[in-house]
Amino acid sequence: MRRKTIVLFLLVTIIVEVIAFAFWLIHCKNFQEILHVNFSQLALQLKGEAGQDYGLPFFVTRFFHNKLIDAFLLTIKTYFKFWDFLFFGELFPFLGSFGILAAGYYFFVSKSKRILHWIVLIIFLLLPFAELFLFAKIPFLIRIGLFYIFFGFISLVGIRQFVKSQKWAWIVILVLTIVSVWWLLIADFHLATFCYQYPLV
Amino acid sequence: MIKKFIQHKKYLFLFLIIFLGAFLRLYKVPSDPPGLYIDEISIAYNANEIFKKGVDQYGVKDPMWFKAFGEYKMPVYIYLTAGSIAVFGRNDFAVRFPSVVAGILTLLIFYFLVEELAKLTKKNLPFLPQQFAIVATLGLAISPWHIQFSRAGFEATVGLCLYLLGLLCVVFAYKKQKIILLVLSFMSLVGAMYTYDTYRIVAPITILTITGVFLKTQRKLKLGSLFSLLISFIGMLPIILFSLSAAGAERFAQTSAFAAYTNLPVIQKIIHYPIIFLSNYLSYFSLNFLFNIGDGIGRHQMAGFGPMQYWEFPFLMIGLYFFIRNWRSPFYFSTLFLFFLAPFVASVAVPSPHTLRSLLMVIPLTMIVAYGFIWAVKKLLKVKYLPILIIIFALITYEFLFYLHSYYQHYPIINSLDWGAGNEQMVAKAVKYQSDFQHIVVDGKLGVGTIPLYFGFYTGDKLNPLVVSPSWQKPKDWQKGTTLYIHAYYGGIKSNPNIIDTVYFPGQNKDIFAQFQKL
Repeated sequence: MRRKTIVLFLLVTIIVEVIAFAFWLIHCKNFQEILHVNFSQLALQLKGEAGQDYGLPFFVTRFFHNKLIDAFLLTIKTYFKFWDFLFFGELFPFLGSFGILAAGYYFFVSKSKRILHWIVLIIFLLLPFAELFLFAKIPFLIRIGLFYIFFGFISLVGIRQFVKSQKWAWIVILVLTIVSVWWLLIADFHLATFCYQYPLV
Repeated sequence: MIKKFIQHKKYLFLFLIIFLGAFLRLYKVPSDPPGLYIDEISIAYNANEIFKKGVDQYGVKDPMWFKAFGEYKMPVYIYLTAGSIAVFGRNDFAVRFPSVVAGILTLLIFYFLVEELAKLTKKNLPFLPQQFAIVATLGLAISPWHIQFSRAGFEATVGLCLYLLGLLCVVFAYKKQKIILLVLSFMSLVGAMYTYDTYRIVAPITILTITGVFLKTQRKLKLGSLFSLLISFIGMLPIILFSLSAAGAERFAQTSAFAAYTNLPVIQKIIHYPIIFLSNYLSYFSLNFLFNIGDGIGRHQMAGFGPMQYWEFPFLMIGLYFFIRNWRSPFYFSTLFLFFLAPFVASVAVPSPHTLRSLLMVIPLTMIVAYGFIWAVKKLLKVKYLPILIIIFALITYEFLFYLHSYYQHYPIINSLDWGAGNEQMVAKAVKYQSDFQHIVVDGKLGVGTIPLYFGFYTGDKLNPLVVSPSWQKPKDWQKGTTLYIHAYYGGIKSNPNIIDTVYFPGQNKDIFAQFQKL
């Protein structure tokens, strides 16, 4: 595919992501608590769980219900919520999400992985923890800005690779652009699930 | 050496896996889940009526469709339960038995299906078909998704079994070039349509796809495919006609995801309908659904558990990578086809995601996870990372034990209300007191529609109490002390001297399900 066409597709992706970013900034004050890890309820939760283990030896209760396991489960559950399709569909419209998936695919397919690739992968997997644990310390604008800069960049890399390697890529990009714009402008179904919205004036 | 061992001992492995699967599906099945829930008791009552008199609860003789709670139930599970009641009598085990058997048979069918499918793609598969089939079947045997629905009277489990049998027959028909196997396959798929609503759409799509593939690729079976299609169409005709009727469309209307938007202008519908569908469809692939919470319905999984286990996630990712990379090969393509088809029908309904309606997803997901698992284990064995391998197995074992602990210890307590816990005990106690009272009255708060069914099923229609509203007052002409009033616990009357007995929910808290009051 010609270079100009690739640049055009990348521009389209950037525009869609900028619109999405603006959409979030206009509507949201912060991410919802479902994306935040809060250990304050763990002790109470443990007490409740252990209370149902009547008739069982103490070590069995301790084996299955302890702070380590509960904290781990809480963290992993919240982490998985971050990678929810609907959340990503809302945060990065379909075009951006597709770009991220494509980048992941090309990363694994590529036989010549450099150290930089692995560093990017580690950041990719660790970045959500900024939201999970540091939500109270880092302002919302910086957190969401970080996501858009980093994941946005990855999605552009993915789109570029996809467009370069597939002849029919333009059809996919076109469809995804239409769906993304349509999703952004018409439906904000899941927004309330994931962010604290500004009150309607 | 391992290869030879697996090839020679594959039936021993299969037997052990089936044994494990059967144990997980049978152990304590009458009491856990605790009680028959609303659909199970409806099935139970109708099945008992069929067994006794050949009629449904409304007196219709040899019915094809069973009216129940504002919808029509498919016939297969009810007739199977009638047979089960004939053997085991009127009890919870008999109602769940067809589902348990279907769950166990599914493991067996799944093994051969995976093995045969894998054999078709021998060149593209980096390990033995038997090896893959064994690991995948073990995965299905311990899958919380499949265990959950195999242990209760869910028609979906039998539907899945028939659907897989249909697919297995297709593979055999393809290999052996026999029309009879194709006919059998289509009949089994049609059978699934008469078992569970989802297959009313999934099965015809599958039949048409298979026919298309056979017409295109199998010269010898061209006529046979058309003949099988014709036979299946004849088999489908009653259900097609029923689905098009007002009664048959009722279920679709009740659960349609678009029901709330029917008043919108056409242009708005064009804008909104696809987005609703897309949103629902994507929700089935969400990690939150698959691993964290499932669909949130207490009967479909335990609170805080998804239909899949966390250990499966990395192997799912590895497996998906290989399946997507090799999608052009028939084995990988058919698995992915099933993966994307399975939640398709469920996406037009609410609530979405829905673990029961998308039960078919467990098949391709288990195959993908098994693939990723074998690949990872082989890699680790090659580089001799034994400690990592031990840690992986320890984590898998821990998570599965944690699941079993939660299922048997916590689930009956936390989710007793989702099931019909307490109803059987209530009926048993009412029967005990029956001779001491002239009137037995049950508070409708315990279930206006279901109370007559619970009493009818457990007593064989020998005790039919009067179901009343919570504000009911005893008629003045009924003498004092002649009425047994069974009511839900309202608080405050726990220690009333007229309370003669109490039914508790499972658990140590002694939460009250119902109280027996002498009036």
